[in-house]
Amino acid sequence: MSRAPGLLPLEPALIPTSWDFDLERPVLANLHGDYGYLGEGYYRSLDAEFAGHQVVPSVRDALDALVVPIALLRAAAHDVGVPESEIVTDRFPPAPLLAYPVNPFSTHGEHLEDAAAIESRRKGLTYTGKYAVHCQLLPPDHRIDVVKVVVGRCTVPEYEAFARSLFACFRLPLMKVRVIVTTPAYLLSAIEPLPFRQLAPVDRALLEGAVPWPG
Amino acid sequence: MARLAIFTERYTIRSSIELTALSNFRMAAFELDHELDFIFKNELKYLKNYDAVLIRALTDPLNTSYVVARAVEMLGRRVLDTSDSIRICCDKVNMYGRLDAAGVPIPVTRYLAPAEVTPAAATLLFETLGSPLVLKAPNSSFSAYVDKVTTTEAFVRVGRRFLRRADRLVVQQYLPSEFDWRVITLHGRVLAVVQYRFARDAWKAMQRGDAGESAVTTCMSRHEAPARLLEVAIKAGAAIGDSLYGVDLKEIDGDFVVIEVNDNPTIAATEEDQANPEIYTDIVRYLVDGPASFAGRD
Repeated sequence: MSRAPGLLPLEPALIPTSWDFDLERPVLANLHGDYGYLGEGYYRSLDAEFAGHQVVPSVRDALDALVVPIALLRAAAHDVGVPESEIVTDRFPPAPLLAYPVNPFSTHGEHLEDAAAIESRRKGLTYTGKYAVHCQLLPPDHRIDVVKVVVGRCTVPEYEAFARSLFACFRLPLMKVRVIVTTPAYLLSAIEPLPFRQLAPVDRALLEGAVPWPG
Repeated sequence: MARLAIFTERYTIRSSIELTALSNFRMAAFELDHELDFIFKNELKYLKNYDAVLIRALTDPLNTSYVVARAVEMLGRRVLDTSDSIRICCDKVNMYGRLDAAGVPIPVTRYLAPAEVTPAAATLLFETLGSPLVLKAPNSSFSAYVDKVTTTEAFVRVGRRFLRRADRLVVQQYLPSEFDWRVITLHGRVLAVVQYRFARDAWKAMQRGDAGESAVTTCMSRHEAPARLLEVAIKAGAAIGDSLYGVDLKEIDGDFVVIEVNDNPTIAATEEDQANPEIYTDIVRYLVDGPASFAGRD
């Protein structure tokens, strides 16, 4: 099965206690995986909201997760680690940093290693100062990991707790997470789409027991 | 005394009447003994310094204005527009769905997924909704990505072009008129009533006429506006939320049909404030005191 299934009810035991849902009714998981604004996955959630279902993500959740500066504010409010960051249009903080555009045309983040990289990309990222860029400062001795989180589960053991906290915070059944790893902490950098078709068999196995999965 | 901020951007202050309106907001705040600063997108780390924020910039869930709305909400402070309003009004599928669910009169509306934008679907829609049909991209604004089509070929061509912006296409019956009403509401209260009389041979407010002329804006006191107009506009605003809205309506056979609800409505000096100069004070008071600011006033 490569086409995304519809909305499937989440196993109640997987629903974080912090979610404000009526647990007498099913909580539906939208497994499209790409909840980008005005895309098919986004409209599946919107259609479900109009039909009166309890659905994750809601379109509000989806936008909170995918607009990077909002995601970091929401994460910080849920005690998820985040990097030091700043929104700029012109004067970038010192490299190294991760720079995410804030505009309707591009969400792709860029790793800017040094001052020369910043200078060469400054105008392109900001459309010559028209749009903002969310800059995340990279601490010394960091590395960047990208992990898949499937209904709060992760196939990488060291990320299991982090994956659970991200699912509780953002309510995205499928997400790819960019993480800044430092010695003391995991810091959320960005949440990216994880389209259902990109799930490997090992990722799909995480859905077994989480939703009524055909096996 | 409250500390207020207006989040704005350079294109909002490119015209003298918009710039004057921003100045009028600040003077209204000063008259009420509040502070008011303008804040720009590279200054967002200072949002926490303010008790409430008014957004006067292009709103879109992927733009900085939405970051401002969510950030202020997470600080527990008041913001106009609310993020819910931006999100709903910027997606016409979401907006019309809510108006329809609330029983607000709107043109007959259909929503098509990409696979449904076909000659066969066009033929059926022309038969059921009449001709011409109005096609809209869900995230159209300022009348852009809104078009009128009369043939199946044009329907498919324009529809597929609009689908590059979103995975839904909005299709509506066409309701002809020579002008649109715009009712500006805030938390269920009417602040201003405006008529946008279209340019000659134009069919939408932002469209210029053959000679390059623009729509003409005429303001009237809310006390003189038709009661039914205000009733429908308030109902439309309530279907979206409790923020600041510009409700566009057409008068059809003596009743009123909502064409759309806009968050962040234009408020330009000598236009939307013509007959309601207190609009600036009304909004400043609301930023400070919320709905309690309306108590004791008609």
